[in-house]
Amino acid sequence: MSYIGNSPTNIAFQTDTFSGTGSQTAFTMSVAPANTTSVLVAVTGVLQDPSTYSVSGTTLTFSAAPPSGTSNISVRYLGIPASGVTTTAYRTVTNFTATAGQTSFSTPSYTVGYIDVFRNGVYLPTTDYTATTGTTVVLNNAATVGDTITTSSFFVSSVLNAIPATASSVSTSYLVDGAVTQAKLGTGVAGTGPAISAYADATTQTLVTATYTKILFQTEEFDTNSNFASSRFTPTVAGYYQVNAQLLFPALAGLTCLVAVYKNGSDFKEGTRTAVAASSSGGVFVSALISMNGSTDYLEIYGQQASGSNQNLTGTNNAFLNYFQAFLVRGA
Amino acid sequence: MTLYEKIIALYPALTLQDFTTTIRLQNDSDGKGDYIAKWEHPTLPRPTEEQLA
Repeated sequence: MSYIGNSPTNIAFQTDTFSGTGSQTAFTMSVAPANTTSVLVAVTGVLQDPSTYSVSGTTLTFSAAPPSGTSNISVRYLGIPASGVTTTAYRTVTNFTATAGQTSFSTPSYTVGYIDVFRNGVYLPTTDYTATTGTTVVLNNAATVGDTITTSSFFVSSVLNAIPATASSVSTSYLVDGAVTQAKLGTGVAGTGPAISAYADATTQTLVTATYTKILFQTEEFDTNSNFASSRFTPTVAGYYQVNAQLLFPALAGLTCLVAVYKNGSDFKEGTRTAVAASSSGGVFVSALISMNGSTDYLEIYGQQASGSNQNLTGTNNAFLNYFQAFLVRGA
Repeated sequence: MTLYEKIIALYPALTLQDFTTTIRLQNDSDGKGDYIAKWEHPTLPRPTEEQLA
């Protein structure tokens, strides 16, 4: 047979087959259907009304034992509940026998817009009733006593609760916190935590002797998370941060100097105090790993020189001389 | 005159070493100037505001 386009594909509904004994009423199915209307049950080829059997989990129970026969009972699954999804009956047919003048009928839960109503077997258009509550149907014209009102309620929450298959539509809210393991990361994947690098511009920074002075780093090389301002690093992601800072002091015999990392306004880590020679400038460096709470904790860099007189930082306006860097190593 | 110079004038015996151990002068570069962040000298009392004025 020829087709325009791809050949049609089809797949049979999943089916279980049982052999009746004449006395056995309960049979174990391979799948737990949502309810009796989710399966078509036939005995010796005769379709059974759902009122003649019940389902509970994977157990199919007939109200009367089917006759003896080899593979004379078939159960064809119209839909199989998705595993891991809370399943709600997605179609429920209910018959009501109306009383005189009855207009309101309490139906099984349905999703508004997903209900069909029949009166004595005749389909009613939606203009003939109101179904906006999810649990009731109100006829515009009152029923006559003995009328059969049939509702077919559809509940679509199972579908709505499923993770959508649309590309780029699944958010992290579907993941349990901490569920992504190291092994799930691809090769070459790096973190995207905050990282900053800044250096002192050409502005003269004078350090009074023997006075710890906050160093100003006016020029940012990068500040990936906008966490650096006023020469202060206040990361908004909790975790452990690698911090590096370097300062350069003038060549002066007798000058000793150091650089310190201040956390929340207090000295936290210091580099080694260095004695500067008269022949060359003296660089001091500090490197530290510091835990930050991701909200109020902040870091600043202070310098101190002990020469007996005021000294200016040298090498300012060079990104490679007086700088402050920090980046997230690992989360909290 | 800097805060350091005022303190040295008050206590000439202090050395630069003292200012790296028991005494900490600090400047937060916020325009408020130098201040005594720590004074833990074993014998000399912390200077008063009047003495440093």
